[in-house]
Amino acid sequence: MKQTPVKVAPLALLLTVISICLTILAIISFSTAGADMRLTERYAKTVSERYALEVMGQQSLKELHESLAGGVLPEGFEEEEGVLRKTVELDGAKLRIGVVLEGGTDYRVVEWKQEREWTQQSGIGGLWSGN
Amino acid sequence: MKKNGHITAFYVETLLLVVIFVAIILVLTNVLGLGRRESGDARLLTKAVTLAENAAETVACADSGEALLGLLDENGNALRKDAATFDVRYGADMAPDAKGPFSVEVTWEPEQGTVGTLVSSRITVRYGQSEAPIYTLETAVYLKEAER
Repeated sequence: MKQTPVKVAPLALLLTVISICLTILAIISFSTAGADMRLTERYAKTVSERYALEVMGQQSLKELHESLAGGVLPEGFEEEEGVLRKTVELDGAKLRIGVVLEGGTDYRVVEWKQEREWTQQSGIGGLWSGN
Repeated sequence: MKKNGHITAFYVETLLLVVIFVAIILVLTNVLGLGRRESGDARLLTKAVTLAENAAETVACADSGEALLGLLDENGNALRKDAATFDVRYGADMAPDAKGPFSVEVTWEPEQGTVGTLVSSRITVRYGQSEAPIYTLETAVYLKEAER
């Protein structure tokens, strides 16, 4: 009876294909996890900046209140149509504060708005624009 | 003799293939493990930031340390550590849980001004037994009247 010899080459080929597939899977998995982490760190940084701006805004309210109690208009505030306005900036983020004076020494906050200027990207990694 | 040599060569090649394959699998397992750890860290940080934000908004609503404790407490998960520090516990799903692994430490530091009070607050989020904070946030609130 003639015996068919067992060859290693097909087995090697199969293992190579399996290895390549697993490597691609591992790389995709690792890069996705890395991207998740980068996005989360950016989110954490944005929140920290937002609250740093909040601290500056609250500090401005304190200065405003103390100035009004002293009978003077606070520095940094400008009057626009009966509303005292001030803009606080930090790392490109802005906090717009608007207050209305009530009874000389008291005030009421009418605007407390955080915003960040957004610039449109000219190109997104060579993505087809659709025209 | 020749047949024996073929058999030996076959075994050596097969063994070599298996060793290389096992080495590749081990490396890939490490890479996948690193990815999983990184993903877990990202999930933990996201939860910590959300809890810190919630605590910061609670600070913004409070007008005294007592009021802050009352606002933070849900199902007995908040306790006073000292005069100006509160410890709030949350479960892994961020639900209030007195024995949960998330510890949110909130400070209430009033600074009396000439008219009102500027209260600074530092929020530190820790997880499990670790003393190292995952996330720290600083906020403030100005109270028109002196703190009650």
